[in-house]
Amino acid sequence: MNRPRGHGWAVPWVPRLACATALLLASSLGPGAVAQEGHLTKAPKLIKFVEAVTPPGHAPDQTAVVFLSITIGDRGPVDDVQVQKSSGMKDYDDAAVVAAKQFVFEPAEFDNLPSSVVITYRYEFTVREELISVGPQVNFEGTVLERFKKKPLAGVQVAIADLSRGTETDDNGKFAFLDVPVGTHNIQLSGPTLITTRTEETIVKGKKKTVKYLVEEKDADTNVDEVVVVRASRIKKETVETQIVTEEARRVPGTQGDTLKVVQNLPGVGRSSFGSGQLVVWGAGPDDTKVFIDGVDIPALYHVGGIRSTVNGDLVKSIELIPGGFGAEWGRALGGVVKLETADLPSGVHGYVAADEIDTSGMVSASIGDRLTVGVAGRYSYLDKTLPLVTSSNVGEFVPIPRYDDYQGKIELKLRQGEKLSLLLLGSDDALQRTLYSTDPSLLRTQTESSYFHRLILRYERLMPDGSSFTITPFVGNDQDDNTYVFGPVPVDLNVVTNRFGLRSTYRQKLESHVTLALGLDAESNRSFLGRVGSLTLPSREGDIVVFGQAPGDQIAADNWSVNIVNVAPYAVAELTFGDLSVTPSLRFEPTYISGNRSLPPTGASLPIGYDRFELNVDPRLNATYGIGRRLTLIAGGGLYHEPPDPRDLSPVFGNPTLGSSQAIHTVAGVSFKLTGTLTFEAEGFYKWLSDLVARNPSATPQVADLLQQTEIGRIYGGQFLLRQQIFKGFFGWATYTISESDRKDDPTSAWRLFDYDQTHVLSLLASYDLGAGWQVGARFRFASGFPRTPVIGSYYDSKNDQYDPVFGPQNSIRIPPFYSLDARVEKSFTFGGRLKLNVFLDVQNLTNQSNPEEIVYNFDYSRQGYINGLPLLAVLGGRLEF
Amino acid sequence: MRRSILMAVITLAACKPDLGPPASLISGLRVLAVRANPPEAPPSGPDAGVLYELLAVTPGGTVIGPQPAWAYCLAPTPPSENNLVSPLCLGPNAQLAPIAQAGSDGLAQLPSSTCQLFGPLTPPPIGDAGPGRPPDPDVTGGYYQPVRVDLPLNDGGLLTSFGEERIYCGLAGVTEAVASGYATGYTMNHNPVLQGVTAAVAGGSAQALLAHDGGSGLSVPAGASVTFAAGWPTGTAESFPALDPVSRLLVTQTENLITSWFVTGGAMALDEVEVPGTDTATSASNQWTAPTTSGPVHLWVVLRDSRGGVDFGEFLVMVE
Repeated sequence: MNRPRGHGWAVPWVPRLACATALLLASSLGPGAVAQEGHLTKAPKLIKFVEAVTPPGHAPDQTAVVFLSITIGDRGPVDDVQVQKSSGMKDYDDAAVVAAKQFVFEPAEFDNLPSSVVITYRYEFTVREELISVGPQVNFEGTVLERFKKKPLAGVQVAIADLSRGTETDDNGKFAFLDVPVGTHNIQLSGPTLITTRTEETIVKGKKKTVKYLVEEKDADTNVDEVVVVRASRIKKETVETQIVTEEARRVPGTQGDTLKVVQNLPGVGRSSFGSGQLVVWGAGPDDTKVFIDGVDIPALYHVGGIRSTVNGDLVKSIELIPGGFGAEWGRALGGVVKLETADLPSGVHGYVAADEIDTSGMVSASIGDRLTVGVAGRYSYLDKTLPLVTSSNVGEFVPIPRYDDYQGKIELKLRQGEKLSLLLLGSDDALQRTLYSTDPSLLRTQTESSYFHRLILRYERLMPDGSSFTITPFVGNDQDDNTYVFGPVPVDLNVVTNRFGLRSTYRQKLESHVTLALGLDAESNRSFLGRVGSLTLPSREGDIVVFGQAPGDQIAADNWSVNIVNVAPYAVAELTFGDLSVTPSLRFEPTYISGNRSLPPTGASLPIGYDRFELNVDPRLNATYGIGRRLTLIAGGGLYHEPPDPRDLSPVFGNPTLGSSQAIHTVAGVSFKLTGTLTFEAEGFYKWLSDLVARNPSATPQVADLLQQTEIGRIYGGQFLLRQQIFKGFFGWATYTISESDRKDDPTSAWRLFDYDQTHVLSLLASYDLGAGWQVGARFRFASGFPRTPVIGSYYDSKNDQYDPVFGPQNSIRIPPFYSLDARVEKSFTFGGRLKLNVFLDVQNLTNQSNPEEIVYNFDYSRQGYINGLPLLAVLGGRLEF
Repeated sequence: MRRSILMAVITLAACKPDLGPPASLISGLRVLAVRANPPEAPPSGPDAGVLYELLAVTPGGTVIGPQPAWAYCLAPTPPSENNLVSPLCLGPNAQLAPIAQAGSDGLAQLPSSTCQLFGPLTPPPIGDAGPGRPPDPDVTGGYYQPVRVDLPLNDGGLLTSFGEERIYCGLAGVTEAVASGYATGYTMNHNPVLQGVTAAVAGGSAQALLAHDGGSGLSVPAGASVTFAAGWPTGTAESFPALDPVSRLLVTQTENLITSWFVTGGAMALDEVEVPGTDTATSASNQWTAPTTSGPVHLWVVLRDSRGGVDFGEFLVMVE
């Protein structure tokens, strides 16, 4: 048999009926043999055996024995062959004769002389299953399909990791390997647009292994539903993540159909303070968690009040929340990272329009030719007009009703195969205006607030034939915040205008089957123009000891300043796979240039003196996962992180122009266990150490331009748990629980205190079920510890301002009572003609009308206290028409 | 974001629960005003002497002849402090400079360091640190020296209150022209003068209220709606130059006049009424609903200007 090419044994083995011949050499002479005179000094030796051709037409297990009389000449060849005893089958006899006539012997010798001799030879035909190679054979093949739509995926890298062999799926999603050795092998599926998956396959001798893989694609085809990918925490890309299909996210009760609001229900995300919509992630400040869309920073994920997200969810393909331990691709954040990726616009003409009592939104997209697609989306709110119709007409005095709108426009151009260009324009606008009258003019409060941001993002993407990928994303942006408040006689005015431009670029390539390298550049320049007039203590800062509603200090200052912060960060990320172990080291260099127009407060006629400085931060990070079997995965990671100073803190009058970057160390470890194919359990522990945080200078006589200092440190530790059932027979849901503590120490002489946003316990239970016939129902229960507050233990009378001032106890030593809420949702879908789909929903928040305290309030002399409760039952009725 | 924090503050401020009677109802011993005469003084010189007076009241009327303890607070207020004074001005180990007493009023001279501790002058350095940051002025461009007054209680405790003396220190960190303009154009504050209070029962004519010691007082029916009007002479709201923090130039301001109203029975519609400086009115009105039970009701009106000047008066109303 021939040895196959490659390694291992030739496969498939072809069973063949072979002849295993027992050579029987009879030295006796048969009848008719010519007796040879002399002494046999050397017996004849068969040196060339010829296998007889098995006669056809017999059973596979047919055997036969033929006795032949073979005349061997004195030179060795066979002179004659006669059948001495038949096998009973002439064709077997004839076949044996034909073969024997081709035998070659060493001649016999009589008295040392070659001599002719006749022998009796037993030729036996037997069955022997023999596996032979007929050349290289495919013994491991399969098809890779997208998990939800079962669409074949081309270009997927399929690797036998332990053999360092790999191939790529064809247009039909098929792949094949030749002659894979028998045994168990580690199989890895990966690709620039794929969530890497690992499994094991066992190759058995003589058998072909055919498989079908259902994988989760990150870069979905235009016809695939958008996938909202929400990662509870990111150690390695594919390690710990919670992926929620858009339809799941839209069905979550309490989100009023806003896909992106599902983030508020994830583990590690605390409940935001009333009316803020802020993201409090793993005990970090809201400003420390950054939001990116297609790699570009935006100021907020939600509109003021947290009612709606600032980006239309239908334009979003995936959203990832990484509470900590993220890789070097992301920076300028001490807390977490929220990543939004916009979806490819669908081909053809599509769109939707939706309305409820809060706002109206819509989107339409259309293809122009085969390569160009254009889409626009927008949202406009009118809650300020509708709410008074169903409540009191002066409801605006009790509840701040923001007005907001947002818009997005996108142009996509497909260039070559795997190459595309897109232009995204987006913006968000928020406005809030109200006046609170009081019987006491010193308690008169007016508030005028407006904020908006715009981004223009150009994105070029190229997927190379070798699987490597390249993206480059230049952008420009403009943010503006105008806030004017009046607290009795004390005005507060803060205006910030920031012009931004930047560039993000990434090149990613699989160097070996177990090594992938990504190199990138994350550059951003922000030039801010700021103006502030008013009290030093308003806006308040985290760590300020203040009673809710307390008037700010009556000392007034003013400043106008500008700041330029340029941050150019090259980074490298390596993904190394060693069997079940994956290690992702990454490194980020962050040179940062900070300059400002004023280092000291204005004095007389003196000209302003500017400043500039340069700092270099190096952030190493490491993530690792280890798979144990097919269900269990261990994860660990961490790293060093830096965040540049906030331009609002760099005023020489209100802050400190010498502030530099703050720093954090993240450590995370956990486990992920697949109970079933759709039921998973995750548990993670985390610890963060923060340093060089900015806090108020506690000195009664601080130096000039030194009202803020970087002496604050922080620590955050805790654990989070997630039990999640993905869509299974119409049901999905999850239970999340986070227990944590977040502390701060304002300066070396002060004691540790609770962080203002600390929430010891956060629990969220939600479930949704498809009843069929277009009906869906869902419920959500939330529990969260109340925020820390500082107690008031006394007061004194201030005659000048005719008010009482509080005397405080230990900082953040008490808490607002915990928060409970039960929400419900019911939805009905109608389909018309296969093209039109109408969804009507009723989303009820706080179904039991629970009175949840949101703040502690006191009477005029702080001798009595009470609570202000949050929103009562809130029912939102809406509809959505898709085409 | 920080702005959202403030928005939440505003959000809930109007949804307050019932926290008992308003500030205008006197239900126990309270200090209603601390008056300095003059209300503004320099730290030295012939105008430096100041007389302090206290208005302390109970449901039975003004507390006559209290024996409070007066002191100047010597701890500068940290810029991070929302309250009027530093916590170091409170408690038994407070940083204070006692004021000599003459009867129930304190006669004092401002501390020589007051313009450095609470005024626009550079504070003294601490150790090897560089020059300190002077305090910022209030909206009227003024600086104030806190004055602590402790009223002894029957249980041995103290009722602590603070007044503020506006201190004349000139301007710092301005151009010579601005400093010169301020020096020539600024007139130190004078206390406003409360000329009296009239009362008009619904549908009736206004009648002058007599001071609390002027007899039995005006009679009103139980539950009647009464309009009080507190008056002051023309020119009480003084104009003065103040440094605009944005332009760093002098602008002319006119004092706002604020009347605070306190009663021992019934209910005031407003705790305070403010007449802005742009308004030339010489009176402020407030509605009062008389209690349903008969008896005397004490009324106090405190008149303040926006530079710390104070006057006050007590009146008596008989409910029948």
